[in-house]
Amino acid sequence: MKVEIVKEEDVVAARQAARQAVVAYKFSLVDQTRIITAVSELARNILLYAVCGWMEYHEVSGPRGKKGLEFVFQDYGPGIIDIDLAMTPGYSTGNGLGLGLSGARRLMDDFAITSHQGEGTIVRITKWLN
Amino acid sequence: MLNNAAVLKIQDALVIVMHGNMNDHSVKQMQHTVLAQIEQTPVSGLIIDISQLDIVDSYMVRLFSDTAQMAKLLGVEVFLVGMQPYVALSMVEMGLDIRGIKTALTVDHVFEILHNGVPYAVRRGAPQ
Repeated sequence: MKVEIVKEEDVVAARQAARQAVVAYKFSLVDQTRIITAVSELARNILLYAVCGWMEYHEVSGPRGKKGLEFVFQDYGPGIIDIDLAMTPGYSTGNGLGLGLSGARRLMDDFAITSHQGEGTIVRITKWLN
Repeated sequence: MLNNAAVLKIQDALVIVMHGNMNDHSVKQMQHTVLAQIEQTPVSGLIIDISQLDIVDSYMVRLFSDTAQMAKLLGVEVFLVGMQPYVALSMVEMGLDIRGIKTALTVDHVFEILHNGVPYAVRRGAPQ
């Protein structure tokens, strides 16, 4: 499942896609809320900082038969020069609260970000089913 | 289609009901709409009903905070009403802070606060 993110409605579409996925995978209500919130932050980040990109999600397997959902956000924007700085709560180069990335990390079980200047950014977030 | 929040006047407050599928532009539009309404309709409170929102992210928090500050300058108290428990949990986990905005569980509670200056729960718990 892949959602293109090029306009504001696509952030809503990403949230809706995430909502359907977390319900289908029977995540607890609290995890549903955490996941959709993180998706909303990261989808908006694509629009704010990279102009265009996409989100996709898929099932992932962990040790001892653990199952989860991974959401991947990829853009072809300018990239992040200093990831540590970008992850600092309250730091923003845009017009936001600077809590998008750090907030998404706090809400999810796993969080990984790679970015190359001039090439773009990939953020992967995972929530495991209990 | 459903992208604009409706503004109602109840007693001496404006009530705006947010719905779940609003994009960022519509949320921003809400701010302009309520500020324009406050100018036309003198009220003492502005109630933002978020009971239909299954998430509140950092952009929405910023808009609510900014709206509250602007309304306050116009002499209007702003209340966020009906936040779902898991929304509150996620907001705190993320580090989102809505200090400066009053919250209440229901619209009734807001009118109790507006009219008596005493929170409903405190009044209820007070000895007779």
